[in-house]
Amino acid sequence: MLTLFISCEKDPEVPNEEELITTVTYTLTPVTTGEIVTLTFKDIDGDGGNAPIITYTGELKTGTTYNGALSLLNEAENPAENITEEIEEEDEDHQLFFAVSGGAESKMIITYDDKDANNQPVGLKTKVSTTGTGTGKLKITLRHLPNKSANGVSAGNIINAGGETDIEVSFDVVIK
Amino acid sequence: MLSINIRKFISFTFVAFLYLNVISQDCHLILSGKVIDQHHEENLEYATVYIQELNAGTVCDSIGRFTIDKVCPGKYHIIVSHLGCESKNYYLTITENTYQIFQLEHHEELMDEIEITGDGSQSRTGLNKNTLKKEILFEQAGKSLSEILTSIPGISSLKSGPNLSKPIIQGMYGNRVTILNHGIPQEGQQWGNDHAPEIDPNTADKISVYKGASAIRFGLQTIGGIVVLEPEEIQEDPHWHGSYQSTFQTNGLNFSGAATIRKSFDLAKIRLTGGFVKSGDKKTPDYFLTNTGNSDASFSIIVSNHASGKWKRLFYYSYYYNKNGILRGSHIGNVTDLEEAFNRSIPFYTEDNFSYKIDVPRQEVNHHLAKYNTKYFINESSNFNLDVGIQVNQRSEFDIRRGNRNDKPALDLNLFSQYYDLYYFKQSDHVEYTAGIQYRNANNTNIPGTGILPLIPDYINNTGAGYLISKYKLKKIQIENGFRVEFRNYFVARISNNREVIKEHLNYLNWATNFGLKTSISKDIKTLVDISYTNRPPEVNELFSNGLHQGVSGIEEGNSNLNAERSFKIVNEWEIKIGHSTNINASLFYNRISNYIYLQPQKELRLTIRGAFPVFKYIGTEASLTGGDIKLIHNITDHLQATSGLSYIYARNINQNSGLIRIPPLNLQLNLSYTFGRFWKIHEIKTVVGFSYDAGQTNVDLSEDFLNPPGEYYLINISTKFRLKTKNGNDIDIQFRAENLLNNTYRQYLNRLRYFADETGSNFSLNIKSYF
Repeated sequence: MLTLFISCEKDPEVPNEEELITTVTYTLTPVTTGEIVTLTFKDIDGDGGNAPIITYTGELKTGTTYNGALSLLNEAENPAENITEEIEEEDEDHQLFFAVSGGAESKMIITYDDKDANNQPVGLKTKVSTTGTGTGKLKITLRHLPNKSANGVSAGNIINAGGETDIEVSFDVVIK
Repeated sequence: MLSINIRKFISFTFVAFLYLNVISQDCHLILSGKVIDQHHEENLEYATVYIQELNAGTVCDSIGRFTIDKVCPGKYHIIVSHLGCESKNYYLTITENTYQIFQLEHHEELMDEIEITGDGSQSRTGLNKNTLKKEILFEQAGKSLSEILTSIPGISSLKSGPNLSKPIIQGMYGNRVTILNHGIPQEGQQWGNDHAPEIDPNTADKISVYKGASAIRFGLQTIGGIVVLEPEEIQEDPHWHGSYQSTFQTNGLNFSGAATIRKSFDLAKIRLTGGFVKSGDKKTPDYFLTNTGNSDASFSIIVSNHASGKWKRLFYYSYYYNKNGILRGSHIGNVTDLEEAFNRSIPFYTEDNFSYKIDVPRQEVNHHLAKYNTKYFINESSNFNLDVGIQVNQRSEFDIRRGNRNDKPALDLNLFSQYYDLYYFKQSDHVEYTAGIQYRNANNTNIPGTGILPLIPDYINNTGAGYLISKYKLKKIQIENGFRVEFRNYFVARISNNREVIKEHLNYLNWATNFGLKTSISKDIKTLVDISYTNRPPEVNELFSNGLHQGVSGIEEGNSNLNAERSFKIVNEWEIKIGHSTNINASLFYNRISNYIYLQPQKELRLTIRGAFPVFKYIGTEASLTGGDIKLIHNITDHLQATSGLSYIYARNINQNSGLIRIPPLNLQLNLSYTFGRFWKIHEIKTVVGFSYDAGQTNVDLSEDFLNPPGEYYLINISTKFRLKTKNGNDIDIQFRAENLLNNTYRQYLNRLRYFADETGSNFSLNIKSYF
């Protein structure tokens, strides 16, 4: 009777990680003509395992205005899941912040180019304009449930935003 | 001379007269006796003995003696009371003159500890035991098990916010403390620092703690000690008796209630308990702790047969449900978020208003325990026993998630465990021993559907053990010796970083032994020494944890190469009486552990898509803990009593030449209590003023923590208790209590939420308990 209770096998189901974001791609397309610049942060196997890979294509030219588009994917699934759509559906609950620092500060200006239902920015679409030359860092942060009406937040200042960080990636930027 | 006929007539009428007297009520029986203190056998002067059926009673004389005459034969409920004691109910059948000794439990000391006489052999696990008196259980109504235990010196609480706490015994917690729930080791996800024991303290009539590892009979997870929750023997009383209690606390607008009822039927004896807690957001002196409400519900039943004949059987079932809100402002993304939280004076997401609503993040736990015990009396001095315990622990943790997934748990664990203990007990003049074999099977499953990689894998734990506990009584010395050997097999099915299922088998063979000696050095001084050597195999979370643990804001990694911990511990306890009015209880210990397993922050900061996270890895180190606690009780007058307690632990991480993380700091308590006697309709009034002080913890490696330990703080508590009597002579106890009377703002080192918020402010409570 007792042995009925004792099982000897364990076959766990590998979960379908719907919320996992493996890939962040920031694509900068010049408004007029020029080279498309992409910054990609990819960590296919999540927090452990192999280190994330950061890749760049194209060069940032000074005196140029770009349309910025941010895409989020879960490439651990095949076919890759488009997380950008989920953010768009919950746009009131999300905001992206772009912080330029080091030698590139004030040489690369990023402004919001989209709005949610409350007329607050989201950041999936941005406008980027470059002046002068320099080398620095760009940090992109995605906050979940920030306080968009706190001081400075809708202008792109993260200090009073709060919420939880779902993405925080840093890229090297060189403006030539 | 009377004729024969007249003589016969006279004899006949004489006999008839006697006969008539015999069949009419012979209400000339005498019930007499004495009322004494249960533990010190001292007479309790002016105690009252009240017979419910007669609506009458008497007061004892100055040496505790009483006499009640003109009692008719019959069955009676008798309530015995004394100032400063818990009243006790007796059910007696009186058919002739009866002499009875009634024993009451005096409140004078907090605990009964060192028992040298034969009674000590009833303690099933060892010598150094601290039992919480019923008065403490009443005063702490509405609190969790761990909070109640902190009344015992040397016991602290590891907290995760105002609702979740687990006991720390002499610096040890989690996998190193076992909780014995009605004789069955409690099986829950003990590894989690934010997982409180899933037990309603109201299911126990008696709560005790054994410090030191002499409880190896119940497992190798007892290095710190063992908490024992047990019921009392149900009296052979064919009426429903029990108590019900309700409590209201202002902080959190917390309502709680509990009831216990017992009855002896022809076939069996039954005890039922039930309880609930409903609480909303707690409050610091300055702001609400948004989303810290909790709801609890519990139920238990004991059915046992009557103690006569060869067999004794008992069945126990308990159910416990808990839903706990986690401070909304403590849920953060990465280390940047955490550091921002440090700079906030008020946590993010704090609302201005109170609410009972429990939202995400939250925990929900269901715990079932079914126990069966059967005892076969071979003869008066030996018996066979079988204990069977089946437990189901279902734990779901809900997080703040994207895409409407808030109602899908982020962690969903089902732990199904079985425990079997077959043992033989034999007692002779000077020796007593218990020999047994145990089997334990724990089956842990991650319920599919979370959409998140599990933090702890699916596994099956098969453990078989044998043990032998012997006790020897030689005049004034009692010696105990225990030995346990245990074989453990883990079958683990974990999911690797490549999302593949990898199956692992691990085996451990470990043993433990302890030696204890207790003796009276003089009539006023008792001492005991307990030496133990325990090998604790690593638990599955220490071997295979993997992933981002929101709770520690870091990535945790198990270590499958861990060896068993080897713990050597020596505990020395003293009970000293000075004159008639002073009692000192002291407990000193030294604990040296090799391969002490803990989560060590690594130098690396791992880069993930969410930012950088520190990595914590389970490693073994050399550790030592030295410390002690001392409690002094002094009766300044018959009514005025002062108690003071001090506890301190000095711990060392020897490999790192630094302190150990999460060791309780120095704690000092001072209490002054005044007990009034009878006043109008009130039978007893007791007022207590208390002061407690916690030092800052400075013996730590600051690089192992995100934030330096908070500074020292003190708290003032006061309470007043009244005892009334109903027309039936039953007690009604009422208590008003103010905790943190001055509404002090402070943070506690052992509370994980100190990164985000202050501790709760003042709390006023009203507590009423009624007996019947």
